[in-house]
Amino acid sequence: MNSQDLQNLQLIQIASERIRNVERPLSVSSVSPFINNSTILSSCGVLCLNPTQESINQEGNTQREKAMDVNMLQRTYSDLLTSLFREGILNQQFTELQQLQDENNPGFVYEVVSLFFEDAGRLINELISNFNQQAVDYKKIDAYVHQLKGSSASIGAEKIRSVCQTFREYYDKNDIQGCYNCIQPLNQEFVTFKSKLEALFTLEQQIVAAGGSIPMMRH
Amino acid sequence: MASSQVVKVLIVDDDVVTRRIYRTMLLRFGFEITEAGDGKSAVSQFLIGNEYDLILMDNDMPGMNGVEATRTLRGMGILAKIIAITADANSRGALLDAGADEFLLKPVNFTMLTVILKAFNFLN
Repeated sequence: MNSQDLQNLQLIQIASERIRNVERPLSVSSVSPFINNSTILSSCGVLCLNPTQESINQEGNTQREKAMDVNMLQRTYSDLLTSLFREGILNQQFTELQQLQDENNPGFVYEVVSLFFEDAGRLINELISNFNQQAVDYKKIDAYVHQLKGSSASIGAEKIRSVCQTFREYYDKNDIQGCYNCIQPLNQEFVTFKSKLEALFTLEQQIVAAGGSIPMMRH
Repeated sequence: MASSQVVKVLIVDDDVVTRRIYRTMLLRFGFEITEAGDGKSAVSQFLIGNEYDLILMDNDMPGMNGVEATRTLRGMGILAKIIAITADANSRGALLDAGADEFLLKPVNFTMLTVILKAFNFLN
């Protein structure tokens, strides 16, 4: 074996490695930086195509990739939404909202949840600020929590609603420490809810951008 | 009914998220929607001469609550249908006594609301 044969053998090994690591059929252009001998390429199992066939194949590959991307995004979306219900972060009321979304109101859920983010964020900031004052106005705090309980129930934010409920039970029993102990969990549940719903909406945007549709799921 | 053919609805609730949801539900039926953030604002709507066929009335609101607003409106001779919608089941009796025609527990289900609207002949 001469030095040229040895070099060719090394190139074949590199190309073979590349082929083994890739799922879809390769075309000449992807391995030609290594080898420009069609005989050697054939021996690696690389499909030697003429340029027209190659571009048709590339387009087919691109469409297949796009379909795989959409499927993957839809699966991720479904998994995330299912986990939100399973973890008790969302309840059936969220499904009600999704059912109100249609071609006349395509961004309804996003709009309502965004409104909630803004409103709930403000209420929680007011709560924390009021609790930090010297003379705490518990009646005002209870009013804020009542409002937050109502809006969280309206959109199906179950854990937030539940903490608000607990707070009000403590308030009714004049248990100030109990009320105070609810504030941090309430803030935490809101932060968690916001980040997860933002992730869900991001996936929705990605699915639509990739040409797919949002999976409709029953919970 | 108010003079035009379109059903005119007044949504009375201090929560902006809740009002937005009701608005979307009712717009599906082609209703005309006005919103008020509390009982006093709701009464003011009628004092300035506006007419409504239907009122969705929350109870627990700052200032004038749903019971007081309902009683005031009935005292003014307002005949619009009033659906009281609240999270507190215990306020049902007070709201119906004040003059509400129907009572729903929050959170409102679109199907439940549709059934009541049909019963009130607001839907064909």
